[in-house]
Amino acid sequence: MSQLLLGYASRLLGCQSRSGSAATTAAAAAILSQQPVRHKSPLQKVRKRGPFPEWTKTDPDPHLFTRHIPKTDERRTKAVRPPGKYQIFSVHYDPIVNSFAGHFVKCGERDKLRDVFTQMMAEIKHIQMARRNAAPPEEKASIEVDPTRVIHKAVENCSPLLIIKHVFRGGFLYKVPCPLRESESQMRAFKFLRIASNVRGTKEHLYRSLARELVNASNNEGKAVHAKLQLHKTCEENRAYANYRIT
Amino acid sequence: LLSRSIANWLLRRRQLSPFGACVNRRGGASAALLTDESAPERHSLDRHVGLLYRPEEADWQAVTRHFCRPELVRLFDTLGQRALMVRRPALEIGERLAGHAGDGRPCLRFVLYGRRGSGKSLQMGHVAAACRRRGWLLVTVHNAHLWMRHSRELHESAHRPGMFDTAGYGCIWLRHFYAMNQEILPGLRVTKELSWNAKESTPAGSSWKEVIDYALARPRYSCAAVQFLIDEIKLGSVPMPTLVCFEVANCLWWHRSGIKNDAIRRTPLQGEEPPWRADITAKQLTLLDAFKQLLDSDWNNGAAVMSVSPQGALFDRLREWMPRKLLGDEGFAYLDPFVPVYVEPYGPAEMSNMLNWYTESGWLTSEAAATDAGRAELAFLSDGNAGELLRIAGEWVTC
Repeated sequence: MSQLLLGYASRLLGCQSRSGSAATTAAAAAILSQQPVRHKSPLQKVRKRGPFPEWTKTDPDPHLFTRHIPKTDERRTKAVRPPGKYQIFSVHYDPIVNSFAGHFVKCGERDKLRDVFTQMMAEIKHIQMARRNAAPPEEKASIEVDPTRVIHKAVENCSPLLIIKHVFRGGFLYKVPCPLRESESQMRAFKFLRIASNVRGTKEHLYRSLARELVNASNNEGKAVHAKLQLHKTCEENRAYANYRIT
Repeated sequence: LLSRSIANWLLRRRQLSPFGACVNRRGGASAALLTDESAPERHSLDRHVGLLYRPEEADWQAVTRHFCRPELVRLFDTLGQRALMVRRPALEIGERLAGHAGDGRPCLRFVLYGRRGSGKSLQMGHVAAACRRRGWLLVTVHNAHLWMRHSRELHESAHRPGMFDTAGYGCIWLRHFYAMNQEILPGLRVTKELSWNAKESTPAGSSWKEVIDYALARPRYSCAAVQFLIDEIKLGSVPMPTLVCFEVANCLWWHRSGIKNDAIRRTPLQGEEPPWRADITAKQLTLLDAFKQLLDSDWNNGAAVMSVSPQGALFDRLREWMPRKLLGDEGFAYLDPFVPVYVEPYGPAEMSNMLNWYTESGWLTSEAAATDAGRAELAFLSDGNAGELLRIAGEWVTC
C-alpha cells in the first residue's frame, strides 16, 4: 500500500508545475500522507490491461501495403494496441483536443461538432491576435496564438489534483479528498470547461463562449479555473477525513 | 529488388497527385506571391493570374468589402492586411467589358457559376472595382435571397398595384447605392417627373441625390424610388456605362419564400378563401422585380454580371450548382442568351500561393501547417474550394 502512495506522491511532485503552485502540490501530498482505513477486498480481481505498446512515430509508415513488407520484418508479428476509434493519422492530430471534442459530442454527432471546433479555434486565434496587436512590444511574445497550445494550457490549469468523494460511515456522510488518475483529472478539466462555457438560451454560440473560456483558463482566470480552485479549497477543508478514503 | 521498385513506383505516384506540386514552397521571396499592381483594371491574363494583390483602401471600402464574406472581412481586420487573388474568370469578363461601353450595344450578361465557396462573389467584386475605376455607374445587389427569407415590413405597393413593397430593404439598398457611387451621383439628373402620390412629385431635372434623400426620409416610397432610378438607367439618361452586379440571381425565380402574405396586417375580405395565406413569390416583390428588369437585354450602354449559387436555392435544388438547374425553365428563358463563366476550384499554383500567404501572414499557426505533409493535407481536405480552405485554415481540426 505504501508503494501506491509513493506512486501518487511522486506523480504529484512530478506534476508540480502543472497547477503552477508548489504549495498546492505539497498540500495535496500532505493530505494523502494519511493512511486509508478501509481497503478493497484482496479477493477482488484486479483487471490488468495488456502490456501492448502504442504505435510510435519511429515505427515505419503503417500505410504501405502489407504485401510489400518483407517476411522477416517485425511489423508482421509485433503486438501493438489497435488505434482508437477516433484516432486520425494526421500531422495535426492532437490527443487532448480529440478527447476534448469527444466530451462535447451529443447523440453521436461528431461531425457537427467538428464544425463548431473549427470555428472555435479560429475564434481563439482572433481573440489572441487582437490582444497581441494591442499589447506593448515586451508582452507580445508571451501571448500564445496557436489554439492547440492554448487548449493544452487551459486543460492543464483546470485539472484538479484531488477530488471529493462521499463516504458513508457510521451514519454520517463525509466528504473525503481522494487522489485522481490522470485521465480522470483531464476529464474533470473538460467538464469544468464545458459547464463554464454554457450560456443560457441562444444568446451566444458555443464556439464563441468556449473560445473565450479557454483563453481565460489559459491565463488562470475565469469560471472553470475558479471551479477547480473551489474544489481544492473543499479538499483542504476536509483534510481531516482523508484517511476515510477507500482505495 | 521487386519490393524496392514497387515502393519507388508508389512514391512517384504520390508525387504525381493533383496537389503534389503545391506541397513545396515554390520560389523563395514573396515577390512570386504578391503583385504590386493594386488597380484591378490593370491586371492582365498573362502576368497576374494566380498572384495576390492588395486592394486600395478606397476600392475596398466602397466596393470590394460588400462582396466578401464576413469571415474574410474579419480575417483581414485581425491580420491587419488584405490580399485577394487575381483569377482568370474576372480578367476574362474585364477584357470583354473594356471595349463594350457606348456604341448602342445592348446589355451584355454574364452568369458566374460554380460550387458553393468557389469564389464567384469575389470575382464579381474584382470586375466591379475595375469598372468603378473606369468611371462606370455601379448597381450591386448582395442579399436578395435574404430579402426573400425574412421580411417584417411588407406593404401593398402603391406604384405597382398587386405587388408588395419591402420598405426597409429599399432604404438600406439606397444608402448602399449612394455610398458606392458618391463621386458620380452629383452629376446625374432625372429626365422625367416622378410622382410619388397624387399630391407630391419631384420635377424633371432634379438630381438623383434629391430623389434618394426623399425616399430615405419617406421610407414608404423607397421601392418606388428604386424603380424610378432603374427606369432612368434603362432610358439611357445616364451618360456613363452601368454595371449591374447581382449575387445569387437564381432567387429571382423562386416560387416559394419565407414570407407568407399574412405578414400584412389586414382582415380577410368577406368570403375570401385561402390562398391569401400563400407564400409571396419573387414576382410579387417590387424591389426584386425592379432589379430583374435591369437584367433584361432591352437597354443599352451597360452590362450585367450575375452569379447563380446553391446558397440561394430553395430546398428542392440545394445540391445543384449548374445554371440551367438553378435558374429553372423560366429563369433560363429570361436570361438567355448569356455568357456563362465557370469559376473553377484552385489549381496547384493557386493553392500553393494561397497556402503560402496564409503561412506568411501568420494565420496558420501550427508547425504542422508549414510542413509538406500538412500543406498536402490542407489541399486535400479543401479540395481546391476557396471558401473551404478559408474555413479549414482557421484551424483544421482532426477530431
